[in-house]
Amino acid sequence: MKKLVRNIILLVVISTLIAMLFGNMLTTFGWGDSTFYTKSKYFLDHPDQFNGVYIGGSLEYRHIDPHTIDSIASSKGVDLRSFNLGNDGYNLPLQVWVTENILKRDTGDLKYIFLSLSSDPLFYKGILHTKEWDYWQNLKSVIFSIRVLYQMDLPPKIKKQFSRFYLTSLAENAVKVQMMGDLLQFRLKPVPADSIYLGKNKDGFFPYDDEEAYLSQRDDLTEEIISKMENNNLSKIDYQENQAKRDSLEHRWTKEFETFDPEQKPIPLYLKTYLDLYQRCKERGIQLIFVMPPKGRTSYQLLMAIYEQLPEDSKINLADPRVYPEFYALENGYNYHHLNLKGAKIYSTKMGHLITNLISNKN
Amino acid sequence: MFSTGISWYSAKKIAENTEHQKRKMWLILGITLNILQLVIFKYLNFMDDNFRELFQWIGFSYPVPEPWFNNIILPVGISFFTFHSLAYTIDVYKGITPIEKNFAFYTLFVSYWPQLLAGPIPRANQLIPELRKKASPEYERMKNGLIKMGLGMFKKVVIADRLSPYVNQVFDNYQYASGWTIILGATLFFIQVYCDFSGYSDIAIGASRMMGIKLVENFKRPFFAKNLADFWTRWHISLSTWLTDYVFYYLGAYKSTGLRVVFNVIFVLAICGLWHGANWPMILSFTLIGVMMAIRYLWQYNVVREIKPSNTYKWSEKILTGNVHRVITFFILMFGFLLFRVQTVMDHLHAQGINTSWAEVAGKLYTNFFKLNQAGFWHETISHKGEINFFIGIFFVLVLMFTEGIVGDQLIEDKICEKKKVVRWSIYLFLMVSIIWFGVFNQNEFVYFQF
Repeated sequence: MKKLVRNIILLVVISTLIAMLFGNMLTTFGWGDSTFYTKSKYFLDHPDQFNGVYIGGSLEYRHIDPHTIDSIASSKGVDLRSFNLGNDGYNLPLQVWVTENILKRDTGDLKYIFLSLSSDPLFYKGILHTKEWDYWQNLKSVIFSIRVLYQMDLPPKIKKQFSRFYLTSLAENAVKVQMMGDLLQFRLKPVPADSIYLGKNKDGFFPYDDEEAYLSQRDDLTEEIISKMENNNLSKIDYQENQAKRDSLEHRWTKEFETFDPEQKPIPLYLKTYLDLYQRCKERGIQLIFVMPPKGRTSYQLLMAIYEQLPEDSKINLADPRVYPEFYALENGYNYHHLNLKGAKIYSTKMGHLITNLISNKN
Repeated sequence: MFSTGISWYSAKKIAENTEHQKRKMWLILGITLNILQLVIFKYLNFMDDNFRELFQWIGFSYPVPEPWFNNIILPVGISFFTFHSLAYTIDVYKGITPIEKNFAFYTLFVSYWPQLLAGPIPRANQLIPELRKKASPEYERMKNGLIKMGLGMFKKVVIADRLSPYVNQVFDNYQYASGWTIILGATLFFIQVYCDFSGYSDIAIGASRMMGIKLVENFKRPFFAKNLADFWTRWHISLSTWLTDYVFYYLGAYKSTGLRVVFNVIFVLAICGLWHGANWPMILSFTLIGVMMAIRYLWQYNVVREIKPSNTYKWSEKILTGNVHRVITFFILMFGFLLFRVQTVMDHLHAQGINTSWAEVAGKLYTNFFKLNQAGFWHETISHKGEINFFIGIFFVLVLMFTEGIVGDQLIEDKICEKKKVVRWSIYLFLMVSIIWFGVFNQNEFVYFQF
């Protein structure tokens, strides 16, 4: 029995070492998420074309129209040529990871990074064990995520559960569990995401309305596409029909801002990481601007506590429903947490003015 | 528990009674009640649908109101544990198996977990002594069991689940698929079902072996079958032997006249289809194979037997070597098993809100099957999901077929255990790393769980 256990352990250790060694030799930035890879590749391949980049999740990807913002900046004499690198489901640790990776590279003309202040390390559990979620996990990110989780005001059960998720994902990525086929596919003959996901102006902005129109005219309705269409459609219909839920959410958001105590202590590690990034960008001659978007899932009191501590000249807040009721209006929404094209245009216009003022004042 | 209780009690009564009539009565009662619960859970909806359609067709109003059994949940593995119970009752009646007096042990036999969900289907006289046997942990036996489990896992997650997206791609778009695409899809589906099912059996057998319990082998290189009859001695062996012992022999097997044998063969295959699924495509899939087997039987019985001494026969034997026989057998089965997939296609269409009949789906599949002048299978099947991933799947299929080819009728795990340490460890590492890297773990459950 001892011999069997010993041999099993030996086999697991050797297999793990082989899987780690050869698996990690093949990886490269963004390989596991075809949409993000297509977007980041386009952005990094055109270093001279862009001098600004928006980093965040779907609240950025689906809302920020660089074309609108650049036009406003240009009309006020500010040279801004920006790209939207936001990606669906990209939460706090992923946003930090993307920012750090951008800073590691030769970024050419890059002068501005607009980093979302909208999320925490929690995520939708359905993406667990997928290459899109696993491929970017590293020890540093996982330690960061777990530490932030433990500094948040969450039930112990949730803290433990999500810590376990992060550790599992790290282990899966370390040995490339079920990922090698896709990794070899990516290395030998990549199947990039449709360039439509770069948006009409090839600036990374792709609102839900455009996606809906695009998917509905495709001939090859695979299971993934059908499921995506159904999810988008269901969330849209529910949003339009369920006034009670809409009102309840808006009430929650408004109350969060109304009752926010400016003395509230921020999550230390979250704040420290953002301030460190700010400093590193500054050293590289890049201005890091924090953007708090509307309709977020994370508690705005948690985010406001951090927002209050960030440098005054490097932040904009577009989330407060009392100041921006239009972002919460039914006609501008696509679903509970996202704007439609019309809403995104209004949002980008407001954001364009705020950004331009901020950059002009700083210069 | 109902099924277990009925079969145990009726078998006990059979053993206690010496009177032939009473023994027979308990046998019939045991069999009837077991089949009845299988019918209620598995076939009532199917029967109701068919009667409803029949009444509609002949223009009568259907007397049964909205059926109460529409929402019955099918108990997992019901087909398997009902067959365990039936075999036990019949074997006690025939005196093949002694009565198991301990109800707890009998329950353990019926619900023995490794093989409860998808077989193999053991006989009481094989499994009960194994369960009663005291086993101490032995290194060689446990190692052998672990290798068997590893091979099963490899077949399931590295081959079956890796092929699954390509199979789905073909059958979800069957309306537009060309002939070559359907042939490719059907071939991959056949391999997928084999690896999925035999993978489960290997895990069940390996886990039992580790605990010192020997289960019967359920697959013996089915793709190396030289004819259809040979195939059933290699595929889901425990079900084939069950049907042979309790249905085919009861009908008279090969002892009757030519036409009666034809009926026996087709009937047993139809029962086999009905066991696999309460739907017409499944029944017809197996019946079609039964018809092919009957044709082969008639050919053998009436033609080959007559011309055997002649040169014609020798000539054909020379030309049609074993491998040609194997390819033909594979092709016939692949063609028949197209119907096996129809119900899944229907479920997919229903999920999309498309209502169509199984006959339309089957008709389109078989019509497109022969459109061999349209060879768009590469684009239709592979390029969507990635060529490299496809070739990785094919590579592992070839590895498995090659291994089965060189190992022959010996068990792969036994052959591995005979090898030198370096070779053995290389195989272990190949299996482990392949499972880690190329296994698909967020795929569907085992295909045979639905039975």
